[in-house]
Amino acid sequence: MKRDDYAPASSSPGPRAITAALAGNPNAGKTTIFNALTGAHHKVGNYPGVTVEKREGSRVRNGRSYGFIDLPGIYSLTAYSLDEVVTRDFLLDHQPDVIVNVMDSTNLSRHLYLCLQFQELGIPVVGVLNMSDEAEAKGIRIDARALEDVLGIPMVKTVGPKNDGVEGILDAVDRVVDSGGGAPGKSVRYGDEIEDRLAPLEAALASDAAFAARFPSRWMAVKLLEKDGHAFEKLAGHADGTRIAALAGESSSWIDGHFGKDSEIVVSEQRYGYIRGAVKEAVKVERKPDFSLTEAIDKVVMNRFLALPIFIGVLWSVFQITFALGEHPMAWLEGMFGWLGGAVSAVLPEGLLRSLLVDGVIGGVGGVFSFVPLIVILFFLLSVLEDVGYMSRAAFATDKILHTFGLHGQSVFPMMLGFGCSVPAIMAARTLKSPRDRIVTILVIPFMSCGAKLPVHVLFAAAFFPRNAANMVMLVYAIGVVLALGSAWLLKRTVLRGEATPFVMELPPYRAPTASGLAWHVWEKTKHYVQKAGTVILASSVLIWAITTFPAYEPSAAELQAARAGFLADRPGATEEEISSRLETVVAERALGHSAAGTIGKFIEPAFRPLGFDWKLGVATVTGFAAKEVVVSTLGVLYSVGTEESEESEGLREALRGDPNWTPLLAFAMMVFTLVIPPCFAALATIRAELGWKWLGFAFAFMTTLGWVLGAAIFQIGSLAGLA
Amino acid sequence: MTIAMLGEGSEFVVERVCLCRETGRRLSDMGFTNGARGLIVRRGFFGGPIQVRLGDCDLMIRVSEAAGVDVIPVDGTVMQPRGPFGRFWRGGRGGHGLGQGGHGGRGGDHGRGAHGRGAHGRRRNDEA
Repeated sequence: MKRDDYAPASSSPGPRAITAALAGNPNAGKTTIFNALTGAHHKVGNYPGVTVEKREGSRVRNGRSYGFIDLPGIYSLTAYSLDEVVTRDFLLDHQPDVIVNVMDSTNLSRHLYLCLQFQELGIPVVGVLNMSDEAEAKGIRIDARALEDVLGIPMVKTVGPKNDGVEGILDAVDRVVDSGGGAPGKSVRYGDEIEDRLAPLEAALASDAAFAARFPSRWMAVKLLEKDGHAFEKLAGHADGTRIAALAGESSSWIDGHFGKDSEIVVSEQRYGYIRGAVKEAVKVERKPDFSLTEAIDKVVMNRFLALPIFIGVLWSVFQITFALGEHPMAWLEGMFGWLGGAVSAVLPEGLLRSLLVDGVIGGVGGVFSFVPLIVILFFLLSVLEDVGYMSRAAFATDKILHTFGLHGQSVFPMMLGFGCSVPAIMAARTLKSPRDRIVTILVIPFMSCGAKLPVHVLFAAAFFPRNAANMVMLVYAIGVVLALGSAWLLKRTVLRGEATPFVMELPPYRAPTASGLAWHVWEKTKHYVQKAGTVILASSVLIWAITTFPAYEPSAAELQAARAGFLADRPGATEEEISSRLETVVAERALGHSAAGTIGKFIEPAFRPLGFDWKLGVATVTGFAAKEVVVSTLGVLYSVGTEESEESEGLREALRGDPNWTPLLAFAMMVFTLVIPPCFAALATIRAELGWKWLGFAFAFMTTLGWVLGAAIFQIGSLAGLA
Repeated sequence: MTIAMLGEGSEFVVERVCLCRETGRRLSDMGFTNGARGLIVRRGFFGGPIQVRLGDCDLMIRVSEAAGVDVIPVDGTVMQPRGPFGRFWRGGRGGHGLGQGGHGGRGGDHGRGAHGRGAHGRRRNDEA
C-alpha cells in the first residue's frame, strides 16, 4: 500500500489533503491526542501480516482534509521489537507528509530521543509537548520557541485530556506542509569522530538515486553504523550494496575500538549528549515539589513485602466486582435467549430446523453473549488499572517469580485474565513486545483454568469428594498454575530458547483515566471478543449440534416397549408422565450413542483406555470443544438423567457415583485431563489469529499429549497404589 | 561498581553500559548513557527488579541488567544488599527527583556527547 491509500479523500478543490502519522513513546498521551484530533472518525485494523493494532482517523478543517495514522508507542527506531519495525516500515514505505510526535513534557529528554530519530528520516516533524500542565506543576518551564530554534522542529504545547492546544497541532502541521517541510538541514550531530565515518557512507548511499529516494541516506548511514540488521538487509537493493556493507562494517568496528563500547551504544550516547545540550538551552527547572502523590502511593503499593499481596488483592477484587456486577445482566441475557429459544420452539414445528435453531444457533450464540456483561466489566476494570498506571507496578511485583520460569512481568495480566476466559487473555498478551515472551504466554494461558471449566471441576469434586469438594477444585486450579509455570520453563529451554528479553520498563506516574480513553478501550476489546468468539462459537455450536444429531436415530416400537417395560419393572406404579419423561431420556441417550459424536467417542475409546475413560467421556471431550461447560450437559444426556443437567444437579452426581466404572481416582484424572487438553474452539481460533497455524498445531499437540500423559499417570499410578 | 551493587537511596552517575545487543541498546535508549545521573528508588522482593530514577523518569530494570551498568556512586551511601531480602532500611536520601540535564564529564556539550574513551573495551554478553 502506498501513501495514496492513506491520504484522506478530498472532494473539494481546497488546500491539498495531508497525511499525518501520530507517533511517540508509550505513556505520552498519544491516544488522547489522536481522539481529540479525529473525534469519532476512526477505524481500527491490523498492520498487514502482524497483530500490531493500526488506527486511522480523519478530520476536515477549513476545507482541508487530514488523515491520521496512529503508530504503535515505541522508545526508539531500532529493529528489535515488532512495534519498532512496523513503525519504521510504515514511515519509509508510505512517507506521510508529516510526523506528529507526541511527547511527555515532564520527561522531555527521553521523548526527544525518539523525536530526533524521526527527524533523521527526512520526514517533517511536528513536536507536541503534551502534559504541559503537569510539567508546569512540577516546576519544569519549557521554552518551546527556544527548543524549536535549537532542534529545527516546530513545537506545540498541549494538555490532551482538556483538548488544550490541539488546534495548534493542526496549525503547525499546515505551516510545515505548506512551507515544504520544516527547517531542513538540522539534525543530530554525532561528534567529529562519528561524523567522519558517516560522511563517506552517506555519499556512497546517495550514489543510487532510486535507493536514496526510498531510504534517506543520513538515516540509513546512522543505522548501518548501529549495525542494524534490517538496514543491512535493505542494502541488497542498492547498486553498490556489497561495498557499502563492507565500509559500514569497517566504520562500526573502528567506533567499537575507538570508544571501547558497541557502536550502537556510542551512537545513542551521542544522541543523548545532543539532547542534553538542547534541553539545557530551552528548559529550566525552577523548583521541585516537596510532595509527590505517586511516590506516596508507591511507598505502599511497591513496598517490598506488600507489593505481591496487594497485587493478589487487586486481582481478587477485580474478579469479585466483575462477577458481583455481572451476575444480573448475565442472568437477564440468559433469560432473554431462553425466551427466544422458547419462542422459536413455539413457532416452528418439531424437526431438524427447530433443533438447529434452538439447540445449535440460539443455545450456542446465547452462551457467548450472556458472557458479554462480564467481559465489559472485566475489561473496564483492567483498562482503569492500565490507564491509572498500575500494570507496570504489577509487573514489578511479579517479574522475579515469572522470570524464574522464563516468563515476563508483563505476562501476569494475560495469565490472570485466563482464569476468566482464554479468548480475551490471549488477546491481552499483545502487550508483550517480545515475540517469544508473547508466544510462551499465549501457550500457557489455557492452563489457567477458565470460568467454563469450573462447572466440570465442581461436578466431579461434588460427586466424588463431597467432603473436600472446594479443596479439590482449588487443587485443580493450583495444578493449572504449576503446569503453566512449568510449561513456560520447559518451552523457554526448548522450542523458544534464546536471549532473555530485557525488562527495562517505564514506571509512569499515576494518572486519572479519561472517560473517552476508557470507553474506547472497552468498546474495542468487547467488539473484538464478540466478533471473534461469536463467529467461531456459532460455527462450532452448529458443528457440535450436527455431529450429535446425525446420523438420526429413530427408536423402533419394540425398543420403546422394552424400555417402558424395563422402567415399569424398576418403578411399578409410575405415572404416564414419568414414563414418557424416562423414554425421552433413553431416546436422547441412544441418539447420542448412535450419532457421529458417539461413533467418534467409541473410535477413540482405545486411546482413552489407559486413562480409565470409556466412550462416554470421549464424546464429552469432543463436545467440550464447543465450550467446556458442555462436558457437563453431555454427560447428563449420556448418563440418562436428562438434557438439562448442570453441575449442581444431584441426579447426574448420583448417576456417576452409581456407575461401577467411576471412582474418585477416575474423576480426578478427568478433572486434570479437562484442565490440560486444548481449550474450546473460540480460544483455539484466537491462538491461530494471534500466532498462526504452526503455533496452533504445536499448542494442540502439546496440550493433548500433556493432558493424556497426566491423565494416564494419575489413573495408572493411582490404580497401582490401590486408589481405584 | 554497578547499579546492582547500590542500595536504596544511593545516587550515581552512569559510566558505561557493558551489555551488548538488545539489552544494552534498550538501556541506552532509555537514558542509561555516560554522564546520566540516577537514584535507586527501591529494590524488589527477593532480588526482584530495581526501580531507578533517571532524570525525571522512573524505570524498572532487573538485577541482571543492573549488573551490566557501570556507575560512579555520588553521595557516598553505597550499600551492598545482603541476603534474600536485601536491606530492610533505606539509607541516604531516598525519594528525591534529580534534575534533568545533570551530567558528568563532557555530557552536556551540544553535539558532542560524552564518552568514555579507549582502554576499557570490556563487554559482557547479555545471554540469560
